[in-house]
Amino acid sequence: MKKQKIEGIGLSLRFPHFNEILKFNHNVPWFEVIVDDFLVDGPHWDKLTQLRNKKPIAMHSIGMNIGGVDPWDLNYLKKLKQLYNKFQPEWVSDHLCWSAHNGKFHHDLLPIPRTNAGLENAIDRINYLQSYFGRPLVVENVTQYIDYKQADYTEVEFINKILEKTDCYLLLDITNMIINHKNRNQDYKLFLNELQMDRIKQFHLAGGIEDNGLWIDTHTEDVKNEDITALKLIYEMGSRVPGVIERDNNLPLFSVMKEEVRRVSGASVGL
Amino acid sequence: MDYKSYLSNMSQEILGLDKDLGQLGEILSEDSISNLKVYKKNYMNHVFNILSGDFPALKKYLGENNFYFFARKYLIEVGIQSPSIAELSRAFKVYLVGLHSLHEDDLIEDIVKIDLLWSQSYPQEIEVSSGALEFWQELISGDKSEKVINLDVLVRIVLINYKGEQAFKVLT
Repeated sequence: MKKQKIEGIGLSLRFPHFNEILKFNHNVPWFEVIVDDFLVDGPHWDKLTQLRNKKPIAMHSIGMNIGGVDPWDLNYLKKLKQLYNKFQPEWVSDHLCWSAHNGKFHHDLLPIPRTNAGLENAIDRINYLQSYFGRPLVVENVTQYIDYKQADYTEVEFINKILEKTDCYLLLDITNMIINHKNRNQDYKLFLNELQMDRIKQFHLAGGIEDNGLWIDTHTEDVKNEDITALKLIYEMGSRVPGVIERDNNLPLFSVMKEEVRRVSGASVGL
Repeated sequence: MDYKSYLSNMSQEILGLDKDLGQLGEILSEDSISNLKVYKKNYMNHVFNILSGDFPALKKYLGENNFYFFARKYLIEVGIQSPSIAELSRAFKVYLVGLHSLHEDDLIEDIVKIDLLWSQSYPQEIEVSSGALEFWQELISGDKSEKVINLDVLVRIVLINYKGEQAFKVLT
């Protein structure tokens, strides 16, 4: 498998683009693979092997349920570990959220109540996962369309506590950060000033929509210019880690996504 | 309220879809209760998108409104019981085939089998009525097939790689 440092702006791997990607006549430097798409064997495994032989990857999941209280789904964790061993991602990530309860899965990223109990639960579960996988975990901040009445921590305090107590890393979703602050008429720069920047491993950028005054992280649009401005600010603050553009629906051609990579990569020009 | 109860109340409210269980006044701010619709909509749309992708012919056969009806019915009656997206579609297939209201339609089972073989290469080999594959192709492409469906004759079908593209092969 290709031993190559992950750098620059990559793309989240999408199946409709797979054949184009495997022509390797493009400059997309790396790919983030949604590992949940590969839980069952099939022709896509061969394709991922081909990709991995030429490009470095990271693996990103949605089902670890870090903020949940259900017993671990050991079949799921075992499968993730097998895939990590097989495809050798440079790092693995999931979300600071809960996504299942009482055996029912939401397949969504529900915000963790930022209480002491929520914090301790998340810390315990991240420590367990890191021990199980035998590697550090990277955890992503999520959009939060709701506020719990009880909150012992602000969002940035909560994230910092988790980073400090578990030694895990942060996948800073810049779009989620901006949406959370826009929806509350707050300035995301205050969040960035307090955040433990040295623990950021990777960025996400995506494009959302506004629906009746509420911004929603739909992953259906081009990355907004304000997100690129935020990325440039983060670069200037000293964090030059790699990033990925996420696009789930309203998926354009691969050629359009390559242009998005070029456009977002412009944030680092002159720095 | 303890942490587990937070999650229980939130989960029940979201999984209840259109129902308003009114359980969250103690947990969420007033603005947030109305924003909960984002998570309810995400839940339904996410499942609908996955099932639409994995069952393209079934969606055309039933029509979009009916397909959505059965997807929603599945969510309310069964829910998602695995973190695996592939498992969701496989479980939906089992659910549909078992539905009493669809029992009279002999083609439903054949269509979902072919859909799942095409979208997930699962299982490796299937058995369907003679003519069902051609009917499936008709649903997908819109081109009329002359083949007559014979429910009494079964054919075995596998998925192959033909010149770099996936294709069906009918085994003799």
